[in-house]
Amino acid sequence: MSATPAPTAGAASGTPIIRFTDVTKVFGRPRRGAGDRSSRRRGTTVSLPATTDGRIAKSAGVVGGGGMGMVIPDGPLDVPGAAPGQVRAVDGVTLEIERGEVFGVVGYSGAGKSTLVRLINALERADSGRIEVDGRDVTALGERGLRSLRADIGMVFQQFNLFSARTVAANVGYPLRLAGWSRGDRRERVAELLDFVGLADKARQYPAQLSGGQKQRVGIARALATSPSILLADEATSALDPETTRDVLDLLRRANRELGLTIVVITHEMSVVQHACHRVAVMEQGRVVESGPVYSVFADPQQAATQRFIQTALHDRPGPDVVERLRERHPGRLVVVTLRETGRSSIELTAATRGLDVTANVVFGGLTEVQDRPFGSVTIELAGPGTDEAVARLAQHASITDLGTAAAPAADPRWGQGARS
Amino acid sequence: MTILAANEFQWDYHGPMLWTAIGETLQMVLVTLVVGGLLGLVLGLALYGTRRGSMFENRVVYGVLNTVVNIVRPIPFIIFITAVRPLTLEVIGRSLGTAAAIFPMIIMCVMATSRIVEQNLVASDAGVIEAARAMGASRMHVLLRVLVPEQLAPLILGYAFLFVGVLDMSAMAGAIGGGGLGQFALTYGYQRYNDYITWIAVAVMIVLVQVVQQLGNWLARRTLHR
Repeated sequence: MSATPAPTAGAASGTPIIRFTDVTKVFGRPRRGAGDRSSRRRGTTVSLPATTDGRIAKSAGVVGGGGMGMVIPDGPLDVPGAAPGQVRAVDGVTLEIERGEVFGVVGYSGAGKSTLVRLINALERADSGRIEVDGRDVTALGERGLRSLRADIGMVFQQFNLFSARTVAANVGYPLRLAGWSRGDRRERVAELLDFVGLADKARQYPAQLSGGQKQRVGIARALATSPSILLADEATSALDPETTRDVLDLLRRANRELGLTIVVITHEMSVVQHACHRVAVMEQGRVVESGPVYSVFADPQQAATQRFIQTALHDRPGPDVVERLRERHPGRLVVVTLRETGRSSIELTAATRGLDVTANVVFGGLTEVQDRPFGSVTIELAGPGTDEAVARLAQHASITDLGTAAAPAADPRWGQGARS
Repeated sequence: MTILAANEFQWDYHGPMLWTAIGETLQMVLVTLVVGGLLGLVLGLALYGTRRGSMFENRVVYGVLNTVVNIVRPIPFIIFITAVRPLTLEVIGRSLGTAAAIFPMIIMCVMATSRIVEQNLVASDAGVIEAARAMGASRMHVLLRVLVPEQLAPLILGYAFLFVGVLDMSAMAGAIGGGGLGQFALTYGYQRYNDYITWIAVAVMIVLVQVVQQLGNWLARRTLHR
């Protein structure tokens, strides 16, 4: 395990600690007649016309201007292959999470990511498929086996789920109590944990007296109490402000680095993935539609949904509607120039335009870091007789996407056609 | 026997009876609250635990318990006392007096308590249950060691609320010679046109309720850390 996120495959050891093999989880009983109750657990179900290949026409989309758009979540859907009234929350997922990595699961609400992660500690039981955690087949464990499994898996929650009637110290000590630790050992371990999360002075307070960030630190200390090898973080930062989010993510990264903990982070915020994860899986309608090292997923997303997620975090690449507005003001050739994955942390425009009769204006874009490495793109407008030559030169030392001119526009294929899956 | 005029309170005559009545009332109420409250807690936990979607979900058990509670609770207590008289005779050995009054009071108290416990637990945070389960706590542990402590404050207030109901029941116990403030008010107040006696009995009951409610509020505040 390396101290900082490694360039490509993350800090993982290469050996899987969690392995999903074709796992499916269906909620709700089959509906007997029309008008019957729908899914007991997952609220509403929406019927949409299925496309010919049996998948649902995608309803997720982006509204508003470009990267600032709001994401419309997919609801759980009635899916062909499940009986009416049922929801396939997790649909044939095969996935490996490696020991020592921070693995992100990103998706809209209702995409099945919470269910997926609850299959790991068997808070939900799979309907089919196989889930192995540290060599144990979770699907075969009984109540007793589950309890020992769960002692080795910590979990933190969006709403913290602290025991309001217990002090901070008693909250953190609770899993130790379950594990049968003596009073003295507990006190020592609790002090150590509160020190680790920076709350040593809050031991005797009650959760209600703490801020959101402090509560989540208590949640993390509690989850780490029994020195588990896996930590599940279910939207752990979604109820926190941006600054507190950074603090909590830093804490998780530190736990990963210093304790060698494998962390599974569920989130709908791509910025969390950007800052905290080594690898990521994108979920849509119960399926993992894309997965890989965070940098390569950011650099080369294969799915339109993934691209939309990335743009909620980065805002560097103009969406179709932004391009339309740009063309009104910039009739010339628009080109998106992207930093190469192995390249330098700058985009050189001088070399591309030197000696040519061409003007180059930066009209959109942003450069930032993903996994501590430079990342981003700028969109430039080129105009003048030398434009074609300048585009050709740019393509030699950067990845470019040619959007054409206002007169002869070309679409950015990365944003997809909406129904692609 | 002294003949008393209406609307007077004679200390040497009524005083000792009032003290006895207060003692009997407290005896009935406290025994009922302790025994009925504990059994009611158990029944309430069973109701909550076997509900749909709960940890020990069991349709048959919940259906039976729920029906029993629903059958007993709506019966007016004064009727209930007379209806269970044969059973009281069987269990207590008598069907008149304070002990005989306590038996039906306990049964009714168990039913009422169980609903209060069930309601308070239903209101508990599902996330807390999930957190405890995720840490490897057994279902029984979650029920007894997590949910009950978490809901302790509303439970305490529920018991304070119950006190009023049990006091009410104890007054009706006067009808079967159960003694206490109820019988004192009925026999020496109502039946002898002596409103003073009735009002004094009422005043004592008001004071009792105030004291218990204050105690309940204070305890609930101590245990509520929100």
